[in-house]
Amino acid sequence: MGDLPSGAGYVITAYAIAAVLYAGYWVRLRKSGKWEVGSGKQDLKSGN
Amino acid sequence: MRSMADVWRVALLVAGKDLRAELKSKTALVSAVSFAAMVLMIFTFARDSTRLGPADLMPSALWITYAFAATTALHRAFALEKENGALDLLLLAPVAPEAIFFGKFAANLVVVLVVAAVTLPLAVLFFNVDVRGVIGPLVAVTLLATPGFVAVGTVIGAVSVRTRFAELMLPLLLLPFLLPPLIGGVQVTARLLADRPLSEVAGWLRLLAVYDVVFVTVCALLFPSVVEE
Amino acid sequence: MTAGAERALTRRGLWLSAVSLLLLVGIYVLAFAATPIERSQGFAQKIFYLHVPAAWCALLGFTVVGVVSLLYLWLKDPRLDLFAASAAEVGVIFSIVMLTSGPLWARPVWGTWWQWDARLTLTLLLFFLFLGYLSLRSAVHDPAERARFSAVVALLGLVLVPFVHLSVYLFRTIHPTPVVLKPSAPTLPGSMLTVLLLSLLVHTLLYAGLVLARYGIARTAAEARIDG
Repeated sequence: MGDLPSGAGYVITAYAIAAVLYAGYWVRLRKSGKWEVGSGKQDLKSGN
Repeated sequence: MRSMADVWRVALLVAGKDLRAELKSKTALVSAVSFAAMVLMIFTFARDSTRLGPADLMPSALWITYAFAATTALHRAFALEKENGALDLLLLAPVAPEAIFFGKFAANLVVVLVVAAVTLPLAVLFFNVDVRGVIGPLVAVTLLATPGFVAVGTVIGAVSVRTRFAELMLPLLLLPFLLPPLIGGVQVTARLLADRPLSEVAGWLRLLAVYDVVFVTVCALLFPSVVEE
Repeated sequence: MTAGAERALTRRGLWLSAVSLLLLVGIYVLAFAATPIERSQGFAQKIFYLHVPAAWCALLGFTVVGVVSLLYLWLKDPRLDLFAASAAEVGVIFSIVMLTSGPLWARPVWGTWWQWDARLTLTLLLFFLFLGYLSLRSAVHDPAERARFSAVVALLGLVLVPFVHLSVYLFRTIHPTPVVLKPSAPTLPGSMLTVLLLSLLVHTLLYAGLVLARYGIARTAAEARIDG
């Protein structure tokens, strides 16, 4: 890896946090969606 | 058909009943007033005495104490109601929910203004500030900063008392609504104590007045949705 | 409504958000590779392509919650309540992205993590209002009560927002502070503007997809409660 431009650390951190949040939330939704389909019960965590 | 006069009559009845109950038990008032006195005492020590004189802290201490003591009083008012089940009985009667709102709002306003009437002189005393000549404007800004906030407190109090963790829910939901009156109150008080002309805070006074009008109206419209059924 | 319809909603939402996530990968690549380095802010300016769209979605979400809550109080359709709740929960995710990317941009560019200016204060307020709204929902058992209470609180919050913006604005103008450097939006070079607009679009799609999926799940859970 070559020299990173100044400020790169901040940029990478910001983009990484966003990626983890977006993808993580998507996975969580997929899980609770599936669980319901499979068991026919409600997911207590998401049951609003 | 409910006439306007009926709404005001019921509102007065509700307010009178609430205030009489409060006078009898005095729980909300006594706890809020002693709470205010203690917080003010804590504030006099919660400062760097080498850099800040007591007078520098007075506007912030006054308004934060007042806001928190008012929140305490609002919570007590609804908790009392819940214990007695009085609200449910009231809702069974064929009265307009708007009338109940204005009654509760008026009673809460009186209780909170009594808290203010104690907090303000105590703050003047504890923080050793000279308020001669600005007492009138100070009282006026307190009167101006209070109604909008109490209106929101009346609605959110009615909501939070019906939730689990009511004592947690009320401040969590209500504190954001303190922001405009609190910022305005502190700014105006600081200018007044510094002998600045009132014209300098005209923007704030307008904001506080609009806040009152908007939130009293919105809360009167929303309150029926909270208590219906 | 048949039982399969809610699941179809969930599936459609998951599908839409999955596509948006893939597109977002493309935005990441574009932001890093296809935009020039801004002269005054340097590399840190690239956070702009993430922060502005996330903030837009958070604000959009807040407005959706408010408007749908108003509709709920009017029509009393429980589906509207479930939709408002889904819009709020997804809004929290975008608020967190907005609140983390903002300071990470401000630190290298302004030299400080946080400034109490009107816009920043407002973003924090939105976050607190979202959290209050969701905590309230979790503290009420009865679905009809929960719907009414949370709709009332959402509407109060919507009315509050302009007041807080105005008070902080007045606060700052009376106490002037050194003017902070701001991204000069009107004269963005072409590629920067293109990537920003694309990112706005992809973020909005992602928001819509996640809300749809969340709403489908909430509907399925509500149906299961009625049937069971």
